[in-house]
Amino acid sequence: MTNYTRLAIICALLSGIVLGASALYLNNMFAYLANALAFLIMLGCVIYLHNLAGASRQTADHADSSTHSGEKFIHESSAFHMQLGNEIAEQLSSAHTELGNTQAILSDAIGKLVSNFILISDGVRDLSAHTNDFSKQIREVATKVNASLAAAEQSSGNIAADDRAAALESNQHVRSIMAELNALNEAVASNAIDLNLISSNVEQNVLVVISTLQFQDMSSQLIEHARMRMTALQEVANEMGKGGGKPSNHEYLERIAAYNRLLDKHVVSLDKQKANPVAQKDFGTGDVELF
Amino acid sequence: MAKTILAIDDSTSIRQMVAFTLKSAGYTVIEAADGKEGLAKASANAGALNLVLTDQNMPVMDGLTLIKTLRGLPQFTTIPILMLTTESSDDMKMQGKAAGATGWLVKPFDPHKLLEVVKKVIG
Repeated sequence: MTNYTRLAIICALLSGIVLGASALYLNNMFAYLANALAFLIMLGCVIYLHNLAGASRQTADHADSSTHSGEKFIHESSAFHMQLGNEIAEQLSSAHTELGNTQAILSDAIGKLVSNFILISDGVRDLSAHTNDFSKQIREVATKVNASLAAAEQSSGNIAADDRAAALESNQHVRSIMAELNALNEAVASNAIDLNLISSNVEQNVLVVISTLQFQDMSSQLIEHARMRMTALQEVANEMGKGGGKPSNHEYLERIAAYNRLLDKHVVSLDKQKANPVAQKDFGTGDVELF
Repeated sequence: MAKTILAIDDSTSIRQMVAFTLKSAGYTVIEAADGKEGLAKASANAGALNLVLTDQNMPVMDGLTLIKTLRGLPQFTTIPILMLTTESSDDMKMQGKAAGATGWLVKPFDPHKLLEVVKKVIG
């Protein structure tokens, strides 16, 4: 019961006594009735005021409770944002480092692979060129020997009249050497064909390797692209992680607005810097356009 | 006398692959790792240079800026400049054309196609 209600009840009782006394003093029926009616109206007002005071108190209690729960909600949200910010920042930092390490390892491995590939490829090319030279020289020598043997066969025919047995033996010897030489010649020709085939396969594989290695470059660009965005997110997460304490409603809304502003700033900055540089959809080679 | 090509790319492996392909066909290749280094090497070899082959996305100076800068220098107004890049959007190609690029090759490049285009452009 409020002080106002108590005062109203006391006033009502006093006015009742005053009205009753005045009615007795006047000794008039109408005055009795009028005073009784005035007392009842005053009592009604007192009851109404009492009820109104009770309702106001309930509303005030409720408002007080809402204010407390609102503050609690803001504090809990702020703490949650801080925790979330710290967790995201930590995870992003870890992923950022891992991606960086992966990129470094990949680049190093590809660098070594490319160097070795160029060395081997140059070696194979030199070997192929040298072998072709040797084959050519062998064939030239074989042709010369063949011509010499033909001349020897001719000579042995000429001396056949003088010493038939010696000539026959010499002739057989020459034919045998010629057969061996032909076999050698065929082997060299066959080797040259094999060598050309190997050389052609190597060249084909070189093309595949060149195309494949270019995907490392694209992977690096994609990783760098992802890392750039992760850095921006990390900064926002770090800002979130710095929040804390028990901010007021206004301070809390200010913080949220600041996170949004920071995020927007990064989005605009990143969009200005670079769009996704890799738009390839398959492993095929790219287009060529001359202006 | 072998024709000289300036190959500019921030990726060492791509640069080596391009150089390997072009050297195999008998061209002399000068390498640079970004637009700024490319500009310096182009200026140092202005008389001997027959073609510039450049990437777009590079640190320090990108390909488009390099082309605009080269085209602004009297000794490079007519030299052929080819872009060799992962960028394949029409918008980027138009920007390249406007900057003064002679052609646009999208990575990954086919060594045969690269040689074909280079031969077409500088013989």
